Order: sequence, then C-alpha cells, then structure tokens
Amino acid sequence: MTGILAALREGKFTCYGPAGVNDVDFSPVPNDSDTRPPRGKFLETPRPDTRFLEVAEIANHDPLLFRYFIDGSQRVTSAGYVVDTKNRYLPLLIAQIGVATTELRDSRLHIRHYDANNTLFFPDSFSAEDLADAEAATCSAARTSRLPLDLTFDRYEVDDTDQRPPMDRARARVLHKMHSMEVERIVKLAKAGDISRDALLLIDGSIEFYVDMDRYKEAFRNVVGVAKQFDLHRPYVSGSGAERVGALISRLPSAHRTPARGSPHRNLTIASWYLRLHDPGRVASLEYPDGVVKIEVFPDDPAHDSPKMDTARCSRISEHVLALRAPATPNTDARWASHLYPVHVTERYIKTQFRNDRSIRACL
Amino acid sequence: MSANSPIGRVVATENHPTSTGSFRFWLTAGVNLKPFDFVQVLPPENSDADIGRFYAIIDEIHQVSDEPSPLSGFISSDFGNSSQSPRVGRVVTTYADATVLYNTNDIEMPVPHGSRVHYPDEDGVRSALGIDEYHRNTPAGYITMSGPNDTSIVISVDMDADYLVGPEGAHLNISGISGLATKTSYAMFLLSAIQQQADQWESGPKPAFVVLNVKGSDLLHLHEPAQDLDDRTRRDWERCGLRCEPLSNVSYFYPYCADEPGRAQTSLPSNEVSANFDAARAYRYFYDVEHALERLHLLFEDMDDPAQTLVSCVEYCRENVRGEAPWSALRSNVSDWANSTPDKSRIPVVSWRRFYRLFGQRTRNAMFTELARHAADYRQVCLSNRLRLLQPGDVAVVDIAQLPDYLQAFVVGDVIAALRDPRPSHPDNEDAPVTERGTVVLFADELNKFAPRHGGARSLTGHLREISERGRSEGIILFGAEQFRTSVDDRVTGNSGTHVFGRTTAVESQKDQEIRMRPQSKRVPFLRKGELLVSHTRFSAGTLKLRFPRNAYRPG
Repeated sequence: MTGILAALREGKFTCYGPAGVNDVDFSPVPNDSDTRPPRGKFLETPRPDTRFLEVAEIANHDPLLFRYFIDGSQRVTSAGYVVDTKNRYLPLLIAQIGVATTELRDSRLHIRHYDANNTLFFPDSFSAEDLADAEAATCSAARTSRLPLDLTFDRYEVDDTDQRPPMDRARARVLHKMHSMEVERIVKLAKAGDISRDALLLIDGSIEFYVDMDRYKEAFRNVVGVAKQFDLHRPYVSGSGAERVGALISRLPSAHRTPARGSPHRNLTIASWYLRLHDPGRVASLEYPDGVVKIEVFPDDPAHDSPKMDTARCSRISEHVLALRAPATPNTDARWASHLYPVHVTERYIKTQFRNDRSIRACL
Repeated sequence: MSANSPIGRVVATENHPTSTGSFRFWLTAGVNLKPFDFVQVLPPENSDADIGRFYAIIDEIHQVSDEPSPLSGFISSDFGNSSQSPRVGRVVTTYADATVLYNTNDIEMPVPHGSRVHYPDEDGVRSALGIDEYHRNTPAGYITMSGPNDTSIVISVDMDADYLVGPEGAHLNISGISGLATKTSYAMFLLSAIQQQADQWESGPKPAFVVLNVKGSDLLHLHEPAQDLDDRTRRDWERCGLRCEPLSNVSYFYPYCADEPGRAQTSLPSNEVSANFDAARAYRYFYDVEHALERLHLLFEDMDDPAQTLVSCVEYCRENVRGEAPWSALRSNVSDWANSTPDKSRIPVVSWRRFYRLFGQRTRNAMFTELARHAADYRQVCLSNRLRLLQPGDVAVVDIAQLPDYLQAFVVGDVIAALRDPRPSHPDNEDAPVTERGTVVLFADELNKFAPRHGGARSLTGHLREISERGRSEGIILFGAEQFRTSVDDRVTGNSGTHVFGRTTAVESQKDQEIRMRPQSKRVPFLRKGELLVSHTRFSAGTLKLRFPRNAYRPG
C-alpha cells in the first residue's frame, strides 16, 4: 500500500505533503475599481417604461414552471506540492466534484441524478511521459490506499504569461470541470426531452461562466440561471443617470425586478435581470444586496444580432422564481436570502456525499 | 415500498453515535410507528452479517426539518404569511430513538450505521423479550405493534412466575390515578392468569390468594361471570392463552354485623350475601376478646403515641384479661382501670383515660363480639384461622370496604399476621388440617393507607416492609396498588420485582423516580385506559406497554 505522494516520489517527482488542513484559501477578492461601460442593451419587448417592474404572485393553482434544479459543488483537499522542471513549487489538489439534479414532484424534491468525480489536479509543466507516469502512479495508489479512492487525473495550466497564482489556476480548472459535468447533465436532460418551456431547469449560478455555449445553446433553451452573487460595481447605466448595479439594487423594492438586458457571451446574447426576493429592511442582519438574485436566460434567438425577449416571458420566469422564496433556506446559511431553497437542498445533498478531508488525506 | 423493504436506516452521527444499548434511525416516508413498537435491525447490505440481527423497542419518535428556529420559520413564510402555501416542501424526516433488547448472535456491539430497520417478526420479539426461556410462564397481557401496510402485530407477553410470585423474585406494585389506570382490573387479570396457569407449571409453588376489598363491591363478584362478555373480550383472553372465566374457588369474608343470617357489613345487597352463604362461599368474620387482644395495638396505629403509653395500656390488658372473657368484661375492666389507673409508674392517668375513650370508640363495631350460639348458621368465623386453611388455588376476599380506616388497618394487620404465622388453625385439635398453603399472594389496594410514606414506622408499615423484604422466602407475595407511588413507603414499593404504571399525573410521573428514570416516562400521563407500562425483572425490554383483556368476572 503506497500513498499518492510516495508513488510520485518513486516516479522521480519531487513533492511535499500539504502544510496544514487549511492551506487552500479560495477567498474571493473584491474589485471595486471597475470602470467598464455597461454591458449589453435592454432587449425586452415591449420595452418597459420604468426602471423597476412589479412581479406578481402566482396563483396557488398555477403549477410551478421549474421542474428541475441542478447544482454543482466541490470540496478541494490540498494534496501537497510538486516541484516542476523549472523548480516551481506547484500545488496538487484533489477535488471531489458532485453535480446533483433534483426533480420537484408533488411539492417534494427528489434526487434525479447524481454525477460525481474525484480528480487529482496536477500541473501540466511536465513532459507528456512524466504526466502519464504520474497519472498511473497516483490513480493506482489511490485505489489501493487505506481508504480506497476512485481517482481520475487532470492537469491545470501553468503558463508563465498568466499572472494568476498557481492555486487560482488550479482552482479555475476545478470549476471548469464542474461546469463541464453540469453542462453534460443538462444536455442529457434536454436530449431526453425532460426539460421544456413548461418544465424549466434552474441552475445555480450564472450561465455566463459556461464556455462553448454555441454548442449547447439548444440544450440551454429552457434553462434559467439564478445567481446570488454578482458584480455590484459593474456600471448599470452610463451617462447623466449613471448608476452601478449595487446602487440600483439598493433601491429595488421587494417583489420587483429590473428590465432584462442582453449581455454578449461570445457570439451569443444572454438576457439577465435582477429580482428582489426579500426586503433587507425586514431583517437587521441583511445587507442591501442580500435577497436579490440575478436571473439569466437565453433569448429565443441568442445568436441574433439584436435578440428580443418577450416581457411576458421575463415576468413569468420572475414570478416563478419569486414563488420559490418560501420556504426560505434556513438562516443558518448566511446566503439564505438569495439562496433558493431547492438549490440549497440540492447542494446539501451533494455535500452529504463528499468524504471528509481526513479520509481524502489518507490516500496521500 | 414492498413488504420486505426496510422502513428506515440506522444513523450514527458525531453528536449521537449508536451504542450497544441504543441507536437512532430515520423512517421511510409514509411509515407509521409508535413508541413501544418493536423493530428488527439487519446489518447494512455490504457489511459483515456475523453481527446478527438486533431487536429493539422504540422509546420516542421525533420529526425534524432543516428549519433552525421558529424565527427562521416565520421569515421563511414570507415574514409571517401563514396563508402562503409553499411550492416546495421542506426537507423533513422522522426519526426514532430505540433501545436494543437482543442480538441474535449474542453480540454486544453498537448497531452499525446504515443498518436496515424492518418491522419485527413475532418469534423474534418473543426471543428478544426472553419469554421462551421462562420457567413458569404467566400471561401478562399483549402488545399491539405497528406492522406493514398499517396492520397491527399482536403478541402475547408472559411474565416468569419465578420472578412474580417467587422464589427468584417477588411482589408487584401497580400505581395510577383512579379509574383510568385500571389497577384493580389488571391485578385481577394477573390473579386469574396465575390461577389458571399454575396447573401447567411443572415446578414451584402454586399460590393461594387473599384479596382485600377496600371500596364498594369491586371485588365481591369475582366468582361470577360478567354478563356482557363479547367476542372481542373472549378473543383477547384466548390470545393470552387463557380461558375467559372468572376466578374459581373464591370465598368471601364480610365483617360480622349482627346475630342474624344474611346480614353483614358489606356493600352487597342482602340477597346476594345470603346467596353466597347458601352456596357456602361466604363467611362473616368477628373478633372475640382473645383474638382482638392479640392485635389490639393495631387499633391505635394512627394515633400519636410517642411515649408508647397506649401500647402499654394494650399490654396491660393482655396481661390482665383472660382470652375467654366476654367483651362486656373487657370493657368493664378498661373502664375500671381508667378510674383506678393501675401501673402508674408506666402509664399516667391521662393515658388510661385516653385509652379508655379510644378503646370504647373503636371496639364499638359489631365485629367485636363473641362466638354466637348458632355460629355455623351465621357463618361466623375467626378470620385468621380461616386464612390459615387456604389451599393452593383458593381465593379469599376479605371485605373491609365499609369499615372505618382504623378498623381497616386492624383487619389488614390481622390478615398479614395470620399469613405470616405458620401455626395450625386449631392447635388443640390434632385432626385440624396442617397449614400447608404454600405461597399466598396478598392483593392490597390503597396501599398508601396501610403503608404511607410519611407517618413513621408504624407497625402495619413495618409488617408490609417485612413482607416486601422477607415475604418472598416466607411465601407471602404482596400485590399492592395505589394511586400515587410517592405516597407509599419506599421500602414497601422498592422491593417489587414487577412494577406496573397506569396513567398518572405529569407531576407524579416526575416525582416518582421509578417512572422518571425510564425513557418512556413522558408517556405515562398520556396512557389510555387499559394501557399499562409494565416492568418485569425478566423483561429484557425494561418496560413494555401492555394491554390486557377485560375482566371476565362481574364488575361491582
């Protein structure tokens, strides 16, 4: 029985164990010096004449539009460091990635699919032969360790021109893999005809982060992205009435939304708008962005130069997202006001499937 | 869900690990269980099967949601909009706490996480309770448990007579509030069960029974079949392996009233009394001077007598009155002594006068009389002598319901003394039957009256303590009942091998350590009529919730 690091050392890699349990720091860094112009144009038709649009409550007998909820989550464990050919000290990460799809039936959520993957992220600054050796050694060591782990192998780019720290690059690769798994599941659901205009799929997070959307735009036709975090410093309107997103949503009343506007996404357009679910004035601990979500959908023809989005569709989606504010995510989760409950449950399911760090480290 | 599907899974968490004695499991949605249900637990599919199956009893059932607090719930409903109907149901789960009773492989290891929980099988439950290992099975009622598809599984439960009426353990105590706790009914059911089942016991003593009737005519029809027995009642008796019959070999003892046939100090109508006399199943007990002097101290048990002067007066009477003297002579003597105050060094004059006053009041009852000329016609008997003649399987009902408290204590004291006194019924008569009654079960309701917790170590309490502590070896078994256990002397209740709890108040269930220490104590105030929590030395489950058949004798 050999650990992953011992297996790499036997393969002539120089590597070190992780320094401590918490040596993976993924804290987001705020950026309040954004001077970019507002993205995209308003695309709702007919164009709303007010900045804030009231969102109606749906009737009790009106079935919920959202049938599926998909979320991805990852737990990253530092697996140590490896010294590459240029004597760089580069992180090794083991990521447990899970993507869960829940289905809402009879007002109850049920797990429809769960896709999981455990991957060792290795820097790509080695020869193809060395990387193949590393893959074989680590995967075999993980399978035969004290707590066997079915491990796959992936590489993250280490590029001298990239100013990001290696850890951020590794992390980006983890997210990329998770997004790929989500997209793969969405494509399968769409191909199976499970999602439709009356059985939408709600994905946690912004769909702007997904790549290669040209290929998947059909699968995403009935997918709604709901992001609870977004760039508050981004200018929303320029000119005399210039306003940033943060200022705009601070005035957004509860159960109101902003008009949809299109954001370019390579050669596609994504329609997005903000919707306030909860009034922060009701709970002292809430900040002004809490309780606001950013909704993103593809217009009917996202590749068109000037795509349009029917106001009725925006309103309908908004009404059904608003209907998901109750029950709310438990307030033990700091994000509760913007975190839709079905997404919370889906995410929680994934987290119950993850092994803890200690058992992952048992493979090292 | 198929009938063979698990109804839940064991969960061992950091905060609540499983142990060798208890575990927690969540329930499949739609499964209904209740406290005191049994479950069987199979190890997880991919684990070592050598650990065997566990059987467990459910202590409590809980439901939990991911709502951390009421405030969170308020916020969650759009800040208190109670009419809003949520589009997504919250994640909730029902989980149960259970106590391990038995492992089929006799392994004492914690129940593994992920173990499959199933409805139990009848044989398994009986093994779990250890019933199959009893030497002298005595039906004690039945358990109704939840089964698949909302059906019920009914299992009869036995006690081991070795631990109920000796020789291994003994005594039974029943407590609960009046009416709802069905204390007397359960005691009579057990007596019936012992009486019927004793013939099938291969070894051990077959008991006789002495029943004290302390209120109304509750226990004065034990030999008569109930008129309104329905099929369900008969089925319940059969379920327990018993015949739906009243008690047999019953005789009644009423306090003597007057030298007239058919009269007695009892709640029974005179025609029923006469009928019992005619059927030779009833007697009227009396106390002549000789027998009364033996127990005279019991008449003053409730009086404060710190200097023991009343006891000294009693002793003086015993020393100076012949047993064959008539009551008139004794009363005259006591009157004289109250005036002349003999033995002044021991007994002050005020004590004599007090004794005279109390003696006069308390012996004024008609049962203090002489043997009548037509004693046989009047069915007049000396109670202690008759009790010494009891044979195995006999039931003697001593009616004290219409006597004042001090006379009830007097008679009870006499009964206890007679049972503890092994001498033959007629020492002068060589032909008199030798007392070989074996074990006697004494059923005493209102135990708090005879052995109160507060009231000093009175001699009746002392007698009952003696029975509780040494009665097992003497062959006297106490089946006591009271409304509040905490009002009865600890040493009297504490030695019981079997405790039965009927419905009682929440305060009592918290005050009584015997209840409070049990995981099911919170259920006691909510027990329904006819439901009892029974703790028997041989029950591996500790405490079971039992039901029992309606009595087959005519109620009073």
